[in-house]
Amino acid sequence: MSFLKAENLSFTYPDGTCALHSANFDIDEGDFVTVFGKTGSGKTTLLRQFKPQILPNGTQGGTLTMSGRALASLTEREALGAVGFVFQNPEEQIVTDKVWRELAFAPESAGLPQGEIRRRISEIAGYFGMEEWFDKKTDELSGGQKQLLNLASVMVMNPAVLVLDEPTAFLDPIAAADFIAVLKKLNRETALTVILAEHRLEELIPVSDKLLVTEDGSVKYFGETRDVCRRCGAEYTAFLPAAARLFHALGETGDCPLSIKEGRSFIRKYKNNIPPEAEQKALKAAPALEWKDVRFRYGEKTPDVLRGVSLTVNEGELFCLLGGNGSGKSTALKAAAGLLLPYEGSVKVFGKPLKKYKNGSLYRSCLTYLPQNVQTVFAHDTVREELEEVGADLTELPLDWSKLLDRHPYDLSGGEQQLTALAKALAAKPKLLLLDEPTKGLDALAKKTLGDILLHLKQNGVTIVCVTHDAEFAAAYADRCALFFRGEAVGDDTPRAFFSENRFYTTAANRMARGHFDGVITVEQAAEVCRKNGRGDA
Amino acid sequence: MKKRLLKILLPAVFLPLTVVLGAVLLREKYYAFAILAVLLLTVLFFYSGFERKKVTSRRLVVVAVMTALAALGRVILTPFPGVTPITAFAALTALSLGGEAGFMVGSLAALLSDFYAGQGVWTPFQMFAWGLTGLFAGLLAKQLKNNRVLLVIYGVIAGVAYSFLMDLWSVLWLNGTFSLKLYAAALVTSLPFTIIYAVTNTVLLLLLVKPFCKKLDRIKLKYGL
Amino acid sequence: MKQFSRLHPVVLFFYFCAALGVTMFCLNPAVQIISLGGALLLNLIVDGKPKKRRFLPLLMIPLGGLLNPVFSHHGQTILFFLNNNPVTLQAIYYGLNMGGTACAVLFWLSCFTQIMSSDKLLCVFGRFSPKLALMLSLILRFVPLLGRRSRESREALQAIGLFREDNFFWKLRSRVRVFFAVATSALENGIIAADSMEARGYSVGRRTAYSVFHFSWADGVFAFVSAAALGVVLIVLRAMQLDFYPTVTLKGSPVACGVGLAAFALLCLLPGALQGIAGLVRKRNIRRSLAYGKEAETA
Repeated sequence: MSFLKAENLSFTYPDGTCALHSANFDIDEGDFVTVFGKTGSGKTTLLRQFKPQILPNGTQGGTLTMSGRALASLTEREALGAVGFVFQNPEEQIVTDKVWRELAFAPESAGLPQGEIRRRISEIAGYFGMEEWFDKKTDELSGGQKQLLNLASVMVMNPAVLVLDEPTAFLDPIAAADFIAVLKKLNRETALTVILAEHRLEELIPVSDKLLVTEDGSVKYFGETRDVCRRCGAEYTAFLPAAARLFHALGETGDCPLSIKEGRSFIRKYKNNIPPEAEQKALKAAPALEWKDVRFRYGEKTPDVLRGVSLTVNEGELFCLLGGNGSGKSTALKAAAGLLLPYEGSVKVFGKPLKKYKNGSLYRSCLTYLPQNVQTVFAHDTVREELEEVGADLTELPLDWSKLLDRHPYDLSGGEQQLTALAKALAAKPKLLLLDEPTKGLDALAKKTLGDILLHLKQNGVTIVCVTHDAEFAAAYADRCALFFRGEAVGDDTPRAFFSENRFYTTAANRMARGHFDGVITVEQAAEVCRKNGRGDA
Repeated sequence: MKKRLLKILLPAVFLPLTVVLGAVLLREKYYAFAILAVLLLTVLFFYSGFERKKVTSRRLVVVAVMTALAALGRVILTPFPGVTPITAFAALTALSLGGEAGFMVGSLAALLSDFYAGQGVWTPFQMFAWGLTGLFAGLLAKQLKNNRVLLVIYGVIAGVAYSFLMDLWSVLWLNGTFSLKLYAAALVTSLPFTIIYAVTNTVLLLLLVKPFCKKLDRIKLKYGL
Repeated sequence: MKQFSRLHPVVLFFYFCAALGVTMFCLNPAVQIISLGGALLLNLIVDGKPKKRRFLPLLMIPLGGLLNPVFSHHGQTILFFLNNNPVTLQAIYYGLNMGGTACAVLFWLSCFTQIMSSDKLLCVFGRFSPKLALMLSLILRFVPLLGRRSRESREALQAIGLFREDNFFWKLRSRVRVFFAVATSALENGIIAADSMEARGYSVGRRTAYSVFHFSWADGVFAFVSAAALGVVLIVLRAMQLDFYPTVTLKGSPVACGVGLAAFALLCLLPGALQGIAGLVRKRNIRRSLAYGKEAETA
């Protein structure tokens, strides 16, 4: 008998809309299952079926059993020990003010005695390596630490199944990889069953046992990872890892490569007589934004965050700033937006120092900036009010606004929120657009929509500067990239030169093609050059 | 109904009664003690009700958010003496979520903001006074929600009553016994503050009542509070 | 030996209530002086480097002495007349005493604020009501979060031209806008915290309140000693009261009053002494323990 079994599982809202219908799947104990699908395809509804305590109002049909018992029939106390649930936003799901109190929340709810709670939270803090920040305030933690804390606060009750709803969407790549490594460790060492929904699947799919793809509220594909990767339809290839994308782009059959290693041997089946096409050189244009020896620190005695940033962005460019956490790239962007004042050096926008823009003239038809968290610009109850407040011109953005206008901004998906905020920012008709992590939390399709909008804006003469962790996005859309390290901008170049010179900070396609096709940085380029060369073994 | 009556009687009748009795009969310091005791008991009475009752997590979070907003507002506005949003927030919460929620917001915001502004003997008194403003707004919720004139009157009365109550405490604490003369003097010297309280309450309530009730009602509807 | 500030929060809370209660409700200058001494001592030891501003509350004593005679005209010994009202020596005494009380209370409260961190207060509240402690913890978590949100919102709105400081009207409007952005975010995202609480068993049943503080024998001893001292003071409290009008007289027997004062002195000076001595002993022991390692190295 299988461990978790769903039979004709469905979920209907009180108004009759069916968010999930006739889902069937079996999951064995110790399985690592990754769930993906388009935004709004019912991933979250499906995941919440495992935890009836957080189901929205509505009726469940069919059955979902764990070792033969229906999950819906468990008492609150049994459910606490059976299924753990971690949400997407690391910040908002934290409940208490101190790390140790957060860890103690679940055992406190269960009414455990002091000694038992002490033992449990000490053990879990030790396992997750949290001794250093055990006494800290939860507000002082980094994003990665916060999400790890959320995981630990759930694991403290020893659940048999762990369900996670896009837990790494808000983390930078390094923190996300660390988080997934911890999940894999738990899965391997304790046979914990993990069910996880995610958009960013590059590192996740190679470690998953099974994949589940949702579409319009039903289970479209379910099965062994490699099998699903091979047979899933064209509309889902965008979600797959670079190796599998290349496999699909070339229309291959047989075993689907998943990891970088498999991708490298896959690509070597092709001849390499014809090198990839040379890149068009960027045109020289007047500078739109210049940092000159910019230095900045947040406190009088704290170290510099910007240690002499010097960088020029030309008019009509889409420029990406990459770099690790704390490398100063977001701070540099804020300095360019005039939100903080460097203590040394200067920032020029269209040749004019920032100081010379008086009385907010900088933000009128010149420059706008959107922060990472776009919710910060929403203050009204409908999208219509948000847009009318600034008199936004909706024709600029190719989106079906009619469905969105009367909804609350917080009811929108992440991608729709991003576009609404962008519409608000574009109302001032800026010539320079500064974006901090615009692709954070977006799925592959929303990313593509955003990228195409940015290209469209660029064609209309808007210069765009993006801070991003997303190497794939930069490789696909940027005209030039620069790497930030320890408060300095190093090595600005075209994406191809930039990423093929980097060995670690580069795209998956480049890692696969390196040595065979040098200078390839996207899957599309790799597919094209493979097609031209043809297979060596055929 | 009986419990509800008790809830109103306890602060509204017993407190002034103790003050008057104390002033007339004892002519000593003990009645200040008695007042403090009654005060703490009232607050504890509310809190113990909160502990026993089943409060949903969503309601708990909404009340906590409103309290945090009120406390944060008070901390941010410390450069402007007398300007505090706590009454307004307690009242707004009470309009949507009932008097008890209003009491919690008023009293806990007082306690929490005193973490930043400094705890004092005045803390229980403030907890009590601001809690009451929330409680009464909850009792009059229906009338206040739809009538701006009543809302203005409420704001002014809440401000004046708060000032009078705090002055009563100042006199008792500094002087040890109740002295009508001293109380009158205290009322006169704190007149500017009384005006600031009343004006702040009124302005904030008028400004916030519509958008906030809308926001809170949406939350109530969406999350089934 | 445990330092005062490391005692169990419930013991500390009880202690502060006792010291404050007696100080506030005992009319006797000796009580105020002892109380002031104890509070000042503890303040100095806890604070390390006291600022001059610290001592400002001391001005309340002469202030009380000056103000009370203006309003109170009881008392036998008339010094002079002010606006046809008598100014009496007893009223001045009474005022000085009241100023002393207020001042001592302020110093105790300053110790209270420094020693009773939010963790400790939550531990006390948790004993009384775990749900209330959780609520306070939630609020303490929201305050910095909302503070950060309001900074972020301000920046975000500024950069799209919706936060301006051109004139008073814009200043006000901009701030209201930031406030609404923060309030909306807090209320809407609050639901995630609520769901997270449900997922972690909030509705299981009666909560317990975990705290990192242990109750040790030292806590027991301290609680017992201070409770005993408080008990003695309470028994003779009536005898310790002074009547200021018409003349300053002691109500009860001087012996009982003396016993009460001695007990109160024990109560007030204990924390300062404990904090100071235990701190020094600990410092010495640490030094000794470190030196031990070095000796072993050289040997």
